[in-house]
Amino acid sequence: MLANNEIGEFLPIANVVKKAHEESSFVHSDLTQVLGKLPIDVKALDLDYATFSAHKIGGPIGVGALYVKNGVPFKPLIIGGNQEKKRRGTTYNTVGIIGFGAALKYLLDHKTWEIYDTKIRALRDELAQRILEEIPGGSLNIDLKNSLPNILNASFEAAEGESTQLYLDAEGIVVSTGSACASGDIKPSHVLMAQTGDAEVAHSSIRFSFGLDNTKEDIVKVMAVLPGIIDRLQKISTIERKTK
Amino acid sequence: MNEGQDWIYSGIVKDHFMNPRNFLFGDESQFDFDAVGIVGNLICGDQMKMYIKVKDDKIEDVRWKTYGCVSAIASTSALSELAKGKTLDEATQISAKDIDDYLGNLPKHKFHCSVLGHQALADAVEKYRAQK
Repeated sequence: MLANNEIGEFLPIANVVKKAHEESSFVHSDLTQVLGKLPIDVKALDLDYATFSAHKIGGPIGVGALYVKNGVPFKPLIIGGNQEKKRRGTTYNTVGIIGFGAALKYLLDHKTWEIYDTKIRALRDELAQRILEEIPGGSLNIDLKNSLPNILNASFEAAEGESTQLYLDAEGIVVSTGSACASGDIKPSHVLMAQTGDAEVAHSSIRFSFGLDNTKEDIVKVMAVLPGIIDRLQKISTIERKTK
Repeated sequence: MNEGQDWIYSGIVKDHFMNPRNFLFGDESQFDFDAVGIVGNLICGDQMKMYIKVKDDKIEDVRWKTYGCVSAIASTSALSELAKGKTLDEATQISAKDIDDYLGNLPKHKFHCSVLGHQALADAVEKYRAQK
């Protein structure tokens, strides 16, 4: 990946490619999360393979694309038919492909990566700042300067993630969480565990993801209810909030 | 990472989550309890405390605190209703299944929250008896 999907952190892909090529290895990168949000040049990155999905850019679910650099090894996953010069043997998902194309056209026409870098980044940063200022026990799990401009991953001391998520859902606000409870697993987000080693931070994490349609009104709406939700959860929690 | 699952809880679970009963809001000094049971830990992401006030061998009043998910909060809320007025023996016999039935059934992978609830109350009773 160019950027991690949970916390948006930029990953040193150029170093990985350089090292891999020195060892005569190949690099595949899943660029789904960054398509439309950052300018991408697969040739400049010298990637051997890259994948993209339509659903993260407002296109339909169930269709993606694979970039393969000229000359690198390639073996089809689905064999049998002759479609796509025998690269993928199955009937085209025509409707999906057209939808993908339309979503991509929108990206290019509007240069959405510039909108994300300016308008969306400003919204994300504003919510991050308000969380730090207005919610005791709130902390960020991202580096604002070195991450995707549309993701905000924060943790709230003593307030478990799934509970926070569902109280927000009741207010019409949809977020995701790194809490184990929510994923049906016993382990919390492996990304946050690797980053912090702190299970409470991971179980208490909430991820806000901004899209092109979000506005300042959405920040106002979130901050109208989030402080109260967190305060309530902290007051019924077995854990005492350490931050005053 | 959970990217937004469907609301898979029963109406009763939702009610106990949105309107929890008998929780201890804030400092432990707010409630005059005789014993407190604790179960769970932060690694698992679920921890519950049950505070009991005992009179004539019966649970006169109960409060709880929970760090945990919807099912955890609903389980302790439901258990607090079930436990009030019970004798200490009856209280320890409130099983995970009793809590689960009372809630109109938790999702299968959340059943352990009702198990934790049962254990928290059993721990409180045990600690109360150990004091005597």
